[in-house]
Amino acid sequence: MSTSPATSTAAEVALSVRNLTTSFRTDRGIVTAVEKASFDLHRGEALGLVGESGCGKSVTSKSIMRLLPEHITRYGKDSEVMLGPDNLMGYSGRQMRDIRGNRIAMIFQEPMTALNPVFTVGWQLDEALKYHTKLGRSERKRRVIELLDMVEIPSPEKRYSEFPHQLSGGMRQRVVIAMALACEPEILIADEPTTALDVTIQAQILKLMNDLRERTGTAILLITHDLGVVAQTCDRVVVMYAGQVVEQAPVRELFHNPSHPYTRALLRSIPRSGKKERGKRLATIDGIVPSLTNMPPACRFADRCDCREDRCTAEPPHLVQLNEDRSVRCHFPVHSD
Amino acid sequence: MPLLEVNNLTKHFPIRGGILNRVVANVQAVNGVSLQIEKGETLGVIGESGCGKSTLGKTIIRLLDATAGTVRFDGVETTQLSHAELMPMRRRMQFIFQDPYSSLNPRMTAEQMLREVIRFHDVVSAEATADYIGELLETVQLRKDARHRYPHEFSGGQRQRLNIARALAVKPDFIIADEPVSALDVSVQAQILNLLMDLREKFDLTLMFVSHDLKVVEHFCDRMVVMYLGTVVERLSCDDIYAQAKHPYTRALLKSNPINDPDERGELFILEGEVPSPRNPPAGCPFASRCDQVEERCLSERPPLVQLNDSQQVACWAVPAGS
Repeated sequence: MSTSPATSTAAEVALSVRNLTTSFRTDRGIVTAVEKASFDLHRGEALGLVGESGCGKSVTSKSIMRLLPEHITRYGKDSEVMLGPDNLMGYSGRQMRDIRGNRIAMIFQEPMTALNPVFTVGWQLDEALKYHTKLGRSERKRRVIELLDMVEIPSPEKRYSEFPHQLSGGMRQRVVIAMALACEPEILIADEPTTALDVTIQAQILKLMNDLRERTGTAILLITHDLGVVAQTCDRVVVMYAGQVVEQAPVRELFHNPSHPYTRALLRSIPRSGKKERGKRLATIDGIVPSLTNMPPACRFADRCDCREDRCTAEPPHLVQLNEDRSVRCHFPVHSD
Repeated sequence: MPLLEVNNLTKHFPIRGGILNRVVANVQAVNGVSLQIEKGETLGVIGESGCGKSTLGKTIIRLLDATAGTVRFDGVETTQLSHAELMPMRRRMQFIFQDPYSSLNPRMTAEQMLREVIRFHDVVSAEATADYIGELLETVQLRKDARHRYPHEFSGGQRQRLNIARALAVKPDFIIADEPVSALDVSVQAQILNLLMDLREKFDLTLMFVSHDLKVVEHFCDRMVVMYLGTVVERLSCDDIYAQAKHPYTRALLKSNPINDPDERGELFILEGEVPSPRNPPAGCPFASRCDQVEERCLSERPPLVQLNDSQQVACWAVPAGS
């Protein structure tokens, strides 16, 4: 960790990702999906990791959990994922198994694929407890019912012996959350947890996650493409573009005063509410995301940027600290109006 | 006269079971929906999954046959037309699907796909087809060399452009777009919405825009109907939905939609419970089981869609007519 005095005032760091680089060996050569991503997740906070498809946000979360296929995945030599004093990058498969589901848990987008269709809800929740705790059978059952109750599933005793297909989408996601929380993890990684759900159900699940965070102090890394969800639930935000972190800021500052031209363009492209706005053309970002196999050598957003200058295509920008809790990867960051 | 007039449209899907494979129940996907779309208007249809909004679109265009009710398109009743009689209507009504990839044939290039539609409906002469394809691709802002490419060579946004080009190929008056931007990233979504707005103006199109995304519907449509469990619960103008919305479900939808402003982070509004099964919908108001203003009458009697003013209709006992 850096010894800068600024970080000492900040909240305690639960997870620290440093220079995370993840590449895959493919038929077309080495493809780097995430390059030198660095961010901290503080205890008890909700950190949003946002970006559009292919920006590397899911690869980042799976790298932290080491859930990517080992035989084709390469991590950078200086990549660090610090959980307390330990670097998870150096952990063996067996050591990681003790971390996953125990100290770091994960929720996926599609609850049906995260659950095994041939086992009951109770059995699947019990499995995590059996593996990570020393509780006896009846204690575990009591704990499972307690967990189902905690995620506000009605009549948990009945649901205990039901199968995933007997539950609605919202209920399934609650079960997945209960499973993630079974061992009271320090960190919860939620990868698009509400994308497959309807808005009214999404609101229920977001509220549940907020309540649980307040109650248990679990830090949440929320991966999403939905800026509305970020605005409503996160404390701080990390924006990714084409495999790099391009901006980091507290949520209010990010929405009111984005520094990176990409963040600003992204915020502007969302339809706005109100009579005056209706039918107006939306701001768009010209062009498309560069291909992973053919990244521009300098700034990766340069081709699509409306504040581009010569330097942007000549020299790659570094992630620069603007102040204590903001950083941006841009030669010419947008200034506040 | 409205361009499209839907009256009491109903679509039930039978569930068969037992050794005799008899119809044991019906999934009542669309239950007595009436709506009108004026020429040149864009009507949004909003609702959550399973509310019947996609089935409604497919039944109107006769990709599905209606169980009951009528659809009049430009004065012609279409639900009873034969296949041959339907063909000229098909040229005037088109459909854009949600998933831009699965609605394109992976083995056909853009040109082959467009040519098929153009030749089938004989939109232009055989000699003029190649030029017309170029024109279409330009209209949807695809590059000229796109014509020789296969669907997998396009990005998601480009694929949706190709789908739009295919719908436009027959020079339709009316297009039903079923969640056309739901599978796209926000920046691409903005590009496609802009394109649709341009085309709407250029070709004087009438649109029915089916979506679950309130922000998009509010921005893009003139009026919207809100569906719940196969029925229309409210119809209103998109001018000022937050002030106008009367139905408790519409209000709940508005409030549970996350706002893009961290300063307006309130207590998230929670609508308890879940949508009842369309296989066995409640006798009274479909929303009664989740409504916070529920009265006795709501449980036994279904509220009719009542005209409040020129632009608004609401189906709720708690909203007095003329309010």
